[in-house]
Amino acid sequence: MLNLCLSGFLTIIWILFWMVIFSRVSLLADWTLGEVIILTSFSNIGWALYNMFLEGFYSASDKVISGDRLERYLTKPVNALFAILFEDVNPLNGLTQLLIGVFIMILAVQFYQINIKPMSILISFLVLLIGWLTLSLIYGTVQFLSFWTGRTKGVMRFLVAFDEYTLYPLDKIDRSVKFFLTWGIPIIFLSTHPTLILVGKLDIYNSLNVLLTVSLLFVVWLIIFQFCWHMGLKRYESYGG
Amino acid sequence: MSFSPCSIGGMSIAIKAQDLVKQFEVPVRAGESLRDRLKNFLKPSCKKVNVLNGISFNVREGEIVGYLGPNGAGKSTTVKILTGILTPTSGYAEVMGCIPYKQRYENAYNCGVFFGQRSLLWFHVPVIDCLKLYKEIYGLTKDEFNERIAFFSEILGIDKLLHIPVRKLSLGQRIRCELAAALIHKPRVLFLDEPTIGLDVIVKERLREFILKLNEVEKTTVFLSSHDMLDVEHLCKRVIIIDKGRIIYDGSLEELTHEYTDQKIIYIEYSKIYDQSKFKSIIDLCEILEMKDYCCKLLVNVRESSVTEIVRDLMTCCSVRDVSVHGYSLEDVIRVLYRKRGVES
Repeated sequence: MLNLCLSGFLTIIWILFWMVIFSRVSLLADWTLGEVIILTSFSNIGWALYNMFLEGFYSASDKVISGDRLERYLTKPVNALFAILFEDVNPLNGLTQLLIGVFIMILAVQFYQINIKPMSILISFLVLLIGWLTLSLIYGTVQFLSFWTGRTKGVMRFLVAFDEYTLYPLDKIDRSVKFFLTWGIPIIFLSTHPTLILVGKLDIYNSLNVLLTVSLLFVVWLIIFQFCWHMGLKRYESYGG
Repeated sequence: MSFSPCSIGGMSIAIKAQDLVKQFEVPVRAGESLRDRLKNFLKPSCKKVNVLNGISFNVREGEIVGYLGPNGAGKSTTVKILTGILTPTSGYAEVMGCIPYKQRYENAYNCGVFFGQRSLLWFHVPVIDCLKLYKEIYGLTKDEFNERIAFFSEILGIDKLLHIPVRKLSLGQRIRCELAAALIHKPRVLFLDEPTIGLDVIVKERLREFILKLNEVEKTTVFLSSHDMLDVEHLCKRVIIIDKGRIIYDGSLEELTHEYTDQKIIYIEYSKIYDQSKFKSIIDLCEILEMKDYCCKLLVNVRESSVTEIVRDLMTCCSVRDVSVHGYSLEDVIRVLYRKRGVES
């Protein structure tokens, strides 16, 4: 109940923020208030999925460094990587945030009479899902650097700071920043592109292009992620006796 | 699921280590000044430390082997290589026919691992739930699982502990449950790294009886790394002693202590020395193991000197408060061995 209230409260504050902005302007770089609210709900849904299933990618370093839990899995017939990443999966963790996100999205679509096609729902949610998986792989890769460098808290704090950008439309920002947020840390696929696809601002060709791009990024980071894990495991030194 | 060990001379080899070398990188700090720290940050330097320097040994199926060594000798590193946690820098290891660091999955079915200082159980969950999770991991049937629980309840007495969350168990209780978790799948090889650390004498005795029973009933090969010499004396017929990453002894316990059966240790406590020169001349006949204010420990070779005469002579030149004579314990043997290594190196 507390989670529900907190999530709800924060979402309302954010929507109020946008309402204040849009009380001064009718369009913000070609985005309407309804579209920005849908962007907020996509951010909520994405974060909810991350908190429910993918949080292990963020905390893998502590388990690697501390050694206790990694050694427990290395001596058992289980996939140690899978066990570390998904041991703490808690579907209840982000459930309230997910429900609020979906609710706000449905309300915004109804209230602002936004025309949605079934295909765009599918593609936008696929882009959202693959985008979050890609970001998780990036987090995980950085975490596995702790096999070589020790703690990676500083680097993680730097990475996590970009997560706030999921609350802003990023398609009309400076080109170099947009490039970084597409090919470096793919924040643009976490809310901006899914929103553009859902509200029909991107045609089917461009939507599939976006899906292909994020899938390519996912494959590349998956290869890097697996490579870091295997090399790191060879390098692993455990601790003490 | 299990894999066959190789055999040499008709005897099956459960554990094989060949020229194992393990190197760790240790960061080196240039200095404490700001310039040194910046230099360290921009261009960190490391030195390579060889923890294992070519360890080779074979352990036959059904043996209980003690793996001894001083702190930092490389005992835990060897155990971690054999259990698949670490990859050696060079060399080769095999456990029941599997290379542990390459075939972790297969190796896990053959081995049970117990680290005294690390936990196998999940802290906030009852013991039975942890064991059920291991049942699923190892693919045990319900009957096999119940049979194992009944076995552990009889031998380790864990039946009353099964429904208690792990965090609420005492150390002795937790270790018994940890052993059950390590052995739930009836492994053919059991690695024990300091299993009795922090336990009281009763629990230690119970654990030793359990390990002996396990070896007798299930023919489990036991690889025991421990600082507790009583564990080794009670359990092992063969010991491997390592120091600074090299094996300094590999043979039977009896042979190791046999060399010292002619040695006796005299422990003497005194309040006052009457004749300093006579005292010194008697002490010089023996090897001084320990010399403190008002007490000393002397080593006497009974073939060369008479213990009775030495004690009698000491009593004439100092006011003796307490005297005891005993043979070499394994701990004393190991201490002498380490000291000799220290002198040679």
